[in-house]
Amino acid sequence: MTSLKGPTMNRRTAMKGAAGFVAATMAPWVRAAAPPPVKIGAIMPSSGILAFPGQACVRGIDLGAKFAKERFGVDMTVVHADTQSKPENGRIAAESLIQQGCNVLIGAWDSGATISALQAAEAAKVPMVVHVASANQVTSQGFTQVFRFYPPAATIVRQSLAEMKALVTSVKDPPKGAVVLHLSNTMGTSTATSLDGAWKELDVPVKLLEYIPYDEKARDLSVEVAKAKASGADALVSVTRVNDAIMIVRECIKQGWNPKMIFSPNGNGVPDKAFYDALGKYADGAMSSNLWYNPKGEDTRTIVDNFQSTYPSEWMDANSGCAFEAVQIVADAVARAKSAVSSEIHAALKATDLKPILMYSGPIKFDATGQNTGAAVAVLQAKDSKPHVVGPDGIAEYKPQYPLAPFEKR
Amino acid sequence: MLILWGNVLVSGILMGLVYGMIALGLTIIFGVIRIVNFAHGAMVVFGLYVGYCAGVWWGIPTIVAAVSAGALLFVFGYALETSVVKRFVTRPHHIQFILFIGISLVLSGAQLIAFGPDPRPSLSYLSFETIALGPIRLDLARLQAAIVAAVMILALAAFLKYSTFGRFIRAAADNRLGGLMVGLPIPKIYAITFGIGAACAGIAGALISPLFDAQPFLAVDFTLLAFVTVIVGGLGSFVGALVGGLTIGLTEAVAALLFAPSLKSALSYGLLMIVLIVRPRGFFGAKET
Repeated sequence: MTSLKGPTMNRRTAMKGAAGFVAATMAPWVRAAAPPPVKIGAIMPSSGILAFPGQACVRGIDLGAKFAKERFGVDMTVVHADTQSKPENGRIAAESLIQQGCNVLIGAWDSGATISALQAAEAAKVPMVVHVASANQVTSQGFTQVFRFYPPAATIVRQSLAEMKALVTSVKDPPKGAVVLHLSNTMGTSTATSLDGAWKELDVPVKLLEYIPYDEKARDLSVEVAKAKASGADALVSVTRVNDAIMIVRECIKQGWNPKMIFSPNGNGVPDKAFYDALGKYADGAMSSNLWYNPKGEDTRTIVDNFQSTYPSEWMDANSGCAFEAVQIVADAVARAKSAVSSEIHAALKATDLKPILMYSGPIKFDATGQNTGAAVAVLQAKDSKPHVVGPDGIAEYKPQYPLAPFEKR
Repeated sequence: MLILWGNVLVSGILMGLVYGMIALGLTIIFGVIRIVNFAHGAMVVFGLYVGYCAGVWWGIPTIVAAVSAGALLFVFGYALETSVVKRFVTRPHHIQFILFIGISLVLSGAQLIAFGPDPRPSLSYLSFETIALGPIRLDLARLQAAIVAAVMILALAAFLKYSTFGRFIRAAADNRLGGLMVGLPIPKIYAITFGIGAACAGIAGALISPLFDAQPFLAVDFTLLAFVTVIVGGLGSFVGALVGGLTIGLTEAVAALLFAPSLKSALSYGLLMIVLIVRPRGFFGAKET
């Protein structure tokens, strides 16, 4: 029987043919597998009294979107909305962004605006990644669309006090008494309440002498600092915004009060450029515990340098950093979902298990309430007119300076 | 405890004089033109920015910056009055309110565009300096502002009492129609008065730059503060502005010490309510006729 011999079909040819077939037929699938473009709505207090941190967040979002395209291959269109620093505008901004076709939201810096925006997100079933907002209510009200990167105030305070305790137990001549100067708004009061509980729970070996609340619109803190000085405390614990952090240090200098330690759990000041612009050499030595970028992270140097070249007169700070990280969380979810549909992004966000790109944190995972379980704080200390990480040890750039150098000797 | 009380009272007095100075421009404009300048706070912030620029960019002392701010704001106030405000002098109050709120928003917006939202500290040596009188410490920036406030009030009072143009201003304040009938240059008087009021706001702003970081959003706070001060002291009265400021400053200081510091504002507004009920024209305000 004559064998029928056509063109030789050996194993290699078959493999090539199969590969070609797969490539030809699967090309559209491969194209579809590339993450689709996604529209992000960023809600920030870009104007009004909170414009300072709000605009820092805007910078973090914009830079984060560029980075995410390189890292995750996700094309992002960012639509910004401004709450004008009014909590009630959170919902209006969110509704507007959703109407403009945003598939996912990020925001909104202050807890009031965040909760207001979440109501609109909940109604439209659009997921919202909360980059900054520490009130417990953000994740305790049963919202199903919330994914909060930022830890609640109580967690920040507890971690902060654990770091403070580690410091005061390791130094010679630790402070004996502390006075707490805190804002009387929601953030300040809730932080002070958490502080009180955590102080006892952790058994911090410094006596809490007095709490001095002050109005967030206070124009002058001379009496508050005079009271703090008169309490006999040698450690000042403060919960502040930037402006009042500056006023407090100025008053300490003017009133000749040299506490051994100035420590601000969950407060502003030390992480902010304005603090150094206003105080110069007098800023050095003050400490705070905040969410902060990991100075030893793989990509940190590149990201911070990129930020610096994009915004030469600004710093990458906690607000920019958290906003940046929130964009990466969204990009990671979109890349895994391979979809720009809100419900599918939501499902992907729920399954997030992301090694943080920039910020110091454990793996980013969200629990049933939408809270990131890996959130962690770093201890910062002002040194040479810049904030530097001094704790925890694993990421510390320097050893903490203790006690504070007296102001008049600087 | 005595030292604490001494320091707090001194601080309250100095802060009160600063408040009085901030309110001075508002009371001048109301006293003569009978319009309420809701853009006053924005003008104070303008002065703050002049203080900031002078101190940080050019290294000019605060006092010199204050003179420059006064001159700049005088020109601005004069131009604003002759181009816009004069058309509204005889219009109903609610229209005037809207006009000045609009001017305030435009000024704050311009400041936001020019300087951004970040607080701008002047980083003057005055920001950290005190004079020690035994155990009592006098804040140098406040002391300087308080002295200038007193000098400004005396100078303005002398100008109004002894100069010819000052007499014109007083006549226009007493009776606008009568002034017009005897040939007083009322439009010019109003423009100069508005310029003086704006200049006072500018001087106050520059002088307090070592105390407050410049930020556009402070305008509302300063306007409100000036209102409380002049209502307590008496709208249209220089001495009233000073006494009103002192009253508010001392009330805040004592309230912070005796009660909770977070109640300072509540108590100063409480005082305002009491004054409005008991003596609606304020301590030194003229009786309505």
